[in-house]
Amino acid sequence: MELTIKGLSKTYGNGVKALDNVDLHIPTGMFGLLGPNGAGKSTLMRILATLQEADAGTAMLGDLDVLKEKNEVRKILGYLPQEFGVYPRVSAYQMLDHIALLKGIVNGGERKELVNALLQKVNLYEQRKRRIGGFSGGMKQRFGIAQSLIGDPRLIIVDEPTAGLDPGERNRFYNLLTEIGEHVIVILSTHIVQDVKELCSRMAIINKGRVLYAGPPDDALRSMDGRVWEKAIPKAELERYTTSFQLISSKLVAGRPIIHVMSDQKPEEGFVQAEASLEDVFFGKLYADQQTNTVVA
Amino acid sequence: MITRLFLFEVRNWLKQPMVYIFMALFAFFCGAAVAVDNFRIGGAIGSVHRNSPSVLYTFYSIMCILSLLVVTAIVNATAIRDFANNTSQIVFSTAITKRQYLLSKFLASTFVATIPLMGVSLGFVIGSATPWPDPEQIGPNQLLPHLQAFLLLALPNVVFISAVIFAVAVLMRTTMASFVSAIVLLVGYIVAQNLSSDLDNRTVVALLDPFGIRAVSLATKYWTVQEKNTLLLPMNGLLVGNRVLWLSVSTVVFLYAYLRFSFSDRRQKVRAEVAEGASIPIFQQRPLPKVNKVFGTRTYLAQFARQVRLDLVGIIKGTVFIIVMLLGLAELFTSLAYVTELYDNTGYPVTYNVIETIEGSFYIYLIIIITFYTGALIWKERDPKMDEIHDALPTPSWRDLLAKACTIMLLIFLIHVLAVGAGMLTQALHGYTRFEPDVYLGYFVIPGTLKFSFLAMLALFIHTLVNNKYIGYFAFIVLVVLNTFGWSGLDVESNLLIMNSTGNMQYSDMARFGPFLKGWSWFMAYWWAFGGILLFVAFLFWVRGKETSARWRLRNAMQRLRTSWKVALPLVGIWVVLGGWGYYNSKVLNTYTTSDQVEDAQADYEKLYKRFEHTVQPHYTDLVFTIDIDPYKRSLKTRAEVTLLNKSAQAIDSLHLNLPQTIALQIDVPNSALVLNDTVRNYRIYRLGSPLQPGASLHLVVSSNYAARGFENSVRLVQLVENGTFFNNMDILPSIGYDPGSELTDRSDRRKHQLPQYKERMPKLSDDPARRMDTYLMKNSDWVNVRTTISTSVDQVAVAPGSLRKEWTADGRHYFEYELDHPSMNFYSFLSARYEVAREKWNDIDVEVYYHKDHAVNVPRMINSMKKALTYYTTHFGPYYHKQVRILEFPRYFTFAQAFPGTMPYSESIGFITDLTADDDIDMVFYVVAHEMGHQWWAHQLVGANMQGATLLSESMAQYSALMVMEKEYGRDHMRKFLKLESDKYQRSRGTESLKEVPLLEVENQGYIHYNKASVVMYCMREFLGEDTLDQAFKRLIDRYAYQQPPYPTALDMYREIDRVTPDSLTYLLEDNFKYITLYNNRLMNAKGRMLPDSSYDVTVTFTAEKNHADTLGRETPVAMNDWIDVGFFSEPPPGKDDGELLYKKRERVVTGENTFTYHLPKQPYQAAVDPDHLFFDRVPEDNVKKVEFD
Repeated sequence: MELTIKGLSKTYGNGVKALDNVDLHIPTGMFGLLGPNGAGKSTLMRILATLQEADAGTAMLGDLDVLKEKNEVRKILGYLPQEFGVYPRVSAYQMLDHIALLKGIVNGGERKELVNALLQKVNLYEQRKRRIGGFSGGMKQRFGIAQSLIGDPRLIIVDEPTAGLDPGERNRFYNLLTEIGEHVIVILSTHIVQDVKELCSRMAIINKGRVLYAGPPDDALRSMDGRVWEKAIPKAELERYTTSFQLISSKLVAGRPIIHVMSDQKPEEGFVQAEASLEDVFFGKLYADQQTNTVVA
Repeated sequence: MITRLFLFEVRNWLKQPMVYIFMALFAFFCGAAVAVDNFRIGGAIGSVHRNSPSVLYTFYSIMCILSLLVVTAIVNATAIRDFANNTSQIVFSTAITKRQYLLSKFLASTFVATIPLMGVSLGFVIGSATPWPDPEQIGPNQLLPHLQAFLLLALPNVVFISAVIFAVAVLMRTTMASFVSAIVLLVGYIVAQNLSSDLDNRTVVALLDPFGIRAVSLATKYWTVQEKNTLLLPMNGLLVGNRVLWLSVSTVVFLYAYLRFSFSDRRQKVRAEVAEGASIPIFQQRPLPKVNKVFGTRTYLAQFARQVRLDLVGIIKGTVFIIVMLLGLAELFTSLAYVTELYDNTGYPVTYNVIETIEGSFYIYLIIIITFYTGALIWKERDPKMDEIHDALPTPSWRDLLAKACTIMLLIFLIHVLAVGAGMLTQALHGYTRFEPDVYLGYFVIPGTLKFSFLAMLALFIHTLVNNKYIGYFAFIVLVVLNTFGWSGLDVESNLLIMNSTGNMQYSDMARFGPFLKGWSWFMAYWWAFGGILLFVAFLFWVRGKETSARWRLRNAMQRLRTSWKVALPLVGIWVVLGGWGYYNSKVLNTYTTSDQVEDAQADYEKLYKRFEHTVQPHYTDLVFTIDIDPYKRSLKTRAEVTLLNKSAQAIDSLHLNLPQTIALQIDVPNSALVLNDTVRNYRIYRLGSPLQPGASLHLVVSSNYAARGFENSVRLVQLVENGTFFNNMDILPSIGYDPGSELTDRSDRRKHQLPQYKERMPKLSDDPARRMDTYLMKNSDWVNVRTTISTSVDQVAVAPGSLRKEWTADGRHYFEYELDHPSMNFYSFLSARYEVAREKWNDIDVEVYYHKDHAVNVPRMINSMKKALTYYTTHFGPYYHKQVRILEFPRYFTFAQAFPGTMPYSESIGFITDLTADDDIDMVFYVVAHEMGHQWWAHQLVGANMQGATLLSESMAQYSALMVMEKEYGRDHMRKFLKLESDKYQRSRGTESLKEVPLLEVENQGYIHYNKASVVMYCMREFLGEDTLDQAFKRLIDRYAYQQPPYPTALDMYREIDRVTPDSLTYLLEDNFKYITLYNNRLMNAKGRMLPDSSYDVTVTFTAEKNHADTLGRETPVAMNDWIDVGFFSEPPPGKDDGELLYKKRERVVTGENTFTYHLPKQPYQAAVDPDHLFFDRVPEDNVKKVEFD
């Protein structure tokens, strides 16, 4: 099964173009959606999760029209929103059981078995009778993952799932996702480049509603080979480098800025060639995107 | 520093609209109450100025209580702002001290919270300057009363509320706690008011009222119209003491909060987080079990049931629900504690009364619950941000909506069941075991659940469409208020337009659900169909997902409509059909007149036909009725052969008839032409073919054929029901001649219709024979002969006036023939019901009670009273001319007992359910029967001419007669209690007089004068003249005027008879009692006692005396006294009793000013009293009694 998105556009009432003619092809497996805050990731995911309407375009999941046959989509969907809560004063078990029933698992015995298995899977079994309101951020997120896995979903959409998780939890979460992602479509949105690199066989970078890149992360890296240059500079000169070079990133190492610049040749004395990281790809694409926008403007 | 902080807070508030909005609201309400007739705050004010100081005090009292929530909002917000905004740590780390911080906040918020209440005065002044109120009812606006009300009522009350809320807010630091305490304060206040209302020590109760309202009402309870218009609140110990007391309490509360307050932030306490189970490896690799997903109706049903259970349990376990229910139950139980209160007696807690009490006190909480939880349910997923998960689940939207609707309906049902439990518990606690679950179900649970469920559907609809929780709440409340109060302004009364309106419905033990159920059910079905449509529209616009713009919602709605119009179509179809059916039944098969139409008709009646007022008309003399009642079909066929006699000295050429409202009459006037037939004002004029000569008779046939058809907007003819039919002769007869009694009386109504402003309530008292030609009961009708053949269904007994001549059954119907034994007033009733009959004999007179089978308990008392009354009245007044005396029970649609010739219909909701097992009570059953028996002489033998003082001859005399019978039965001590009550009622009612108070002799059908005042006056005369002497006068009256043809006697005739038997030395008393409005202001200063060696006592009593005559508005002028007044002594009340025994009493000559008397008593007195028997009206009766002090 594949998800094919064509010409998807969405403009909000205030004129903000959240999605601008987005084309994407998403096969089975993990798919990373990378972009800065406000890029349109959540809008795209909500449209796919049947929670928002698109102005134009199509999204086909196999033969299924995601935009029209919403209830059919919901039957095979697992969705973890970026931010969520649950009914107050309800235990983790009750809530999962409730959601399982709403997902069409009518048989009480099956439901019980499933909910217990899920609770064990996300290691909440010991806390199953506790109110979710008292959970820590990580536990709540685990609960969120558990609910998204109910009912054997074929399309799993997880929006910024690692926010609020400590590094250990993040790792375990990735393991879980990859395990599931072998057979179904998993769309994962994040603004953390690391996540995509570690998990996804395919990815897309979007900014301001447009797809800047779509394809395997390796291809993206390859396109940057030999074009990324690095230099440690004094703080005072950062301004100069920003204006005169294609500065894609700067980060502090031991208090001194180290900058990455994109260039086909060595830009200046003192620069050394750096191995391209996905981060460079991401920032490079953003930089290029901003440049074009400025030129057009 | 404090000043700066204070000003900072105040300035902050003055920038916000809230203060002004509340002030405007108060101003609007008070202004409207002053300016507009139909809008009222507090009770009726009679002819008191609409902007009088006393009205102002009432407004301030009520608004102070309403301001509770306003003050709470302001004080709470000020007090917890730093905690709510998490700025507390910043503020507390500055150099500010606790004293500066708390004091400035408290003073500022209290100051700001008084501002809205200034709206009361603002609205008051504006309202009185508008052109709408009757100029005669507007007095001058003075500054002092406003200042006094504000400083004495508003300010201290706000300080008190503010102190309490401030303390809760700074200590608990949550808005919830503040508002809960405000509600607790409010409900606690209402509960305490209810509980203390029958406490004897009114002074203590007045002092303990935190809002001072009781103190104000105690100080003003006997104020007359004049006093209400002019007086300032008396700055006496009571009011000032109350204010000082509660300001002190406020200070203590504030100090407590001050001492307990600490700058450390209590909310810093770490929320205990659930420990992580980190040791177990997370995210196991085992695959999830395979499951089957099933979608379809059965799944949706299971999901539906689960959602309802989850939501319902969630609500019921919630704090808000528990708090509101506990408050509601607290108020319910205090109200239910009074369910047995029945006038001045105790009633059995019959189920319908329990139900109506529940509705009166508990429904407001149900409305709160519905309002709150419809919003909460609609937002249940979105408030905790669960909507994205929920909305992406494969479950249809309609299932969500229906589950929520069902949840709230079940909640409504459960609350009703809870209330039934409370009701039954109350009944059981009163030892009453007729629980009647069927009545609870049919009169409460089912109709209540259906009605409130419609409200819930409306609320769900509004919340869905508005899609903002708070605007949703607001819109719902506004809509409900508009629907409740708005339609009358448009003169709309149709149940098809007023939402949730289903016509009248009243349960009766006799008639059960009576004729109401049918219309009620159809209209309810109509509104439920409408509710279904509302839910359908809500489904169309149901918000699922994140698209909330109007454009997308409309687009989605259209899309949903395309797939689901098949569901909507039958729904709309049913609604339209039900609407059409309702219209056909209420407007085509039946009609109704709105209150504006009635008012217009009344005005036009006067304008068009007043000129015929003095047109000479013939009088009724003989009537022969044939009446067929079919109670089960609610049909009624009547035929009356009527003889009219020209009693005047001139020929009559036309006949003027007023037709009754509901039953259409066919009138056959022989040899005549109908020259005017006004079907709106129900007025007809027949021109007689040949004028009716003096002494000649005219024979009419009046017939009617009424049959209930379909159902009505609201049932009009409640006189005709399945069990308990009860109608008067004038329901099936025309009255003759223009009737001034049908004119508009309300002054502003008259002005609105450009009718002459000044209208005498009654013709002036006079001896002029020409003005004494009609009785006050009816025009153009004197003593008549009546014969009736009446039939009803075979299982019922039908009763008409007079002796039963014949009884038979034919064609499955029960026939009776009655005939009056003596000509009587043309004023009698016809009844039919499945009666039980208790029959006894008194001499050769049949004494009978016709009663409903479950209402036998007080029947022996009624018979006893009738017999005792017959004995007394025949001995003291004169013979009884009928061969029977009957009490007949009728359904509670009317709540009175009334005397007709020989028959006394008595409502099922009074005497028949009175519980007289406690022997301390005044036996109102006995008393009311004796009163109605009195009317057999006073009204049905001697009846007054239609002028002032007419009811002195009937009501006051019946009252006196009953007092005498009661005294014989229950003794003098009982009378003291009764007169105290009557005296209190009279004095309280004076201030609400709508036109003018008059002396008893000129009474204008004013209940508080001809009943309450007359009881005291007549008993007083009896005490001074002696029973035999006084009754001699009354016997002479009966001898001279019983069954007198016109001209009729007047109060002057009665006065002359009493005067004849009054010694000259008591003429002053006679005049004070009948010709003046006389009030005393006596005060017992001290009573000093001394025990003598022989164990007897010497007591010296000192009191001041003052007598005043009042004018029609209550302005008093002092009158020099040289009067006889009793001084008496009471023993100590036995434990558990209120009053002691009267040990000794002596009549003394009393002068204005100080009086001192010394007595030698054989027994030790406990209290001394001036006028111990309450024979005179004292402005302050409390200070007429004092404990005797011994050295």
